[in-house]
Amino acid sequence: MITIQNLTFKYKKQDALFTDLSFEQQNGNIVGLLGKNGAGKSTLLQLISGLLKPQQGELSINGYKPFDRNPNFLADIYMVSEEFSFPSITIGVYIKATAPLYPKFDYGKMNNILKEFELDAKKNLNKLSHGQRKKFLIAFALATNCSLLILDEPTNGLDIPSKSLFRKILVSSVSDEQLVLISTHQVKDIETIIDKIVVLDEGKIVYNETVLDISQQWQFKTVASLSGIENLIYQEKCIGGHRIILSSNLEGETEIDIELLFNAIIHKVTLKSESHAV
Amino acid sequence: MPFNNYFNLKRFTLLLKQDLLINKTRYLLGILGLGLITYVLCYLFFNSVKISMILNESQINGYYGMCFAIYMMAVGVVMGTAFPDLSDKIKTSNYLLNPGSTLEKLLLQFLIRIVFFVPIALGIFWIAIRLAKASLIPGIVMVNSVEQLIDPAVIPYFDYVILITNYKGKIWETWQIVFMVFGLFSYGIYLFAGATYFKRYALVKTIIASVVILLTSITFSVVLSHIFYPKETEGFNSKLNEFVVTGHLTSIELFMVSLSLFSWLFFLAIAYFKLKEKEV
Repeated sequence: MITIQNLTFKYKKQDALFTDLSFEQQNGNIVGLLGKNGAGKSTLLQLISGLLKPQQGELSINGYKPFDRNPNFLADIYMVSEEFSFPSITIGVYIKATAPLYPKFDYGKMNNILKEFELDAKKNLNKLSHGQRKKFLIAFALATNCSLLILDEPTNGLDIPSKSLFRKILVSSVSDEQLVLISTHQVKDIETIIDKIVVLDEGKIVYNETVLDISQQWQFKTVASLSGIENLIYQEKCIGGHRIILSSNLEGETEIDIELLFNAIIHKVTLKSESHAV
Repeated sequence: MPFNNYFNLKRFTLLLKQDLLINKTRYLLGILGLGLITYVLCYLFFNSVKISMILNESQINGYYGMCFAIYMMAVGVVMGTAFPDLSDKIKTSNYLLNPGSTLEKLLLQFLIRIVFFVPIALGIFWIAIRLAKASLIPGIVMVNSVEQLIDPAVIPYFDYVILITNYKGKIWETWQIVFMVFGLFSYGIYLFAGATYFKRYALVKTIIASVVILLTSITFSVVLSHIFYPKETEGFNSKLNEFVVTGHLTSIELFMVSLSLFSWLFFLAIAYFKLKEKEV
């Protein structure tokens, strides 16, 4: 569980990145953390994982203050960074060396995911391609069964089959006791697996809704013309017409176009519906 | 907060096992390389000074001491390159997120780089320098225009006691031995702590910092000497007011022994807090 209250953080000699940021997230969700470049997504993930120290505010992750880097806290979170490096050893040796430090590590799950990703445990990590190493890291993260999994741009570097495999494995591997935080720009890669969308902009959480709520409130369509359309909230031109967001009506739910939703939020379109407001 | 959050033997053992599994080849090759290089360099050095060593017995301690001093610099490099994962941002993230407490991570490096490595390094030096001496070949050389057979067998083998024996064959005083042993140890821990303080080129920066600290201390004592003993101080000299503390130690000797005996604790504490407050 993540609880952030009135967080303030700034890098040295820079303006404050977060001022009075508050955010709460229960376990049992796969959360998509979205934001423009420089919005502070990676910084927020680093604060949550204890790699950075906040100047003010309270952070509590699974009951621990992250920057204390309590070993029990560290054994229950796993972060897959956008950039990573490995020692020059085989996959098998890496697992043998590192897995025992994670008490909930599931060796069976690890082997299954390695098989699905077609990774050989005898291969040296530094002789794998970037995508293969990323797949290994994702496999290891999932096998740790940590309560909090932080995935920073997990699909960068993965080929198309691997991306769909990643989605399949992630959904099947994560339990209700876990919280997965995915930060990405590749919204198409995760739109079918996340159950909550959080948007970070200008140092604030500007949107925080479950996929269920979004699909009940809004409709996402592509239309040839805007004439005669009522309840239009936001539109973007596209080939063959317009992508639009409408207030939901009784016609039923549509698939969420996260990219369109994100653009609407970033363009400060007011998304209001009953109790929800941005 | 429970002690388990700071140190847990099982977790520490797992961290140690992890480090050894990942780095065993590097450690093994490093030790073998160190031994081989020491042997080759000692052999080349002894071969070039063997006449002097044979004809002038009083020089032997000096030559062995010189080899040891250079070797200890290499040992210092190993100590000063502790926490190798703190050299770049990605590795630092992995290192800080590795499930272990700050104390365990510090103790692990201390154990590997000092407790394990230093005795091994001293053993390697002892073997390599004796092998180098044993490899010297007898030969005929011209001494004062006279051909003379030189036999390196007359050169005594290296032993650590030589390092604490003066040219008259007398073993140093106890405080001098304590000062040398703990002085080297404390400087090693200083280099070790420097690895947590600086991100890049930590070893070089730590050595430069030590020179700056030394020069600043000297300058400070010179300034104090000029203030308190203006008549007895000239230029960059400093006057130290020395007095007898015990039957065996003067105040300056006691200061030096105390400094070498306790400063490593201070450096270890600095390393702990720097590591604890480390950010990416």
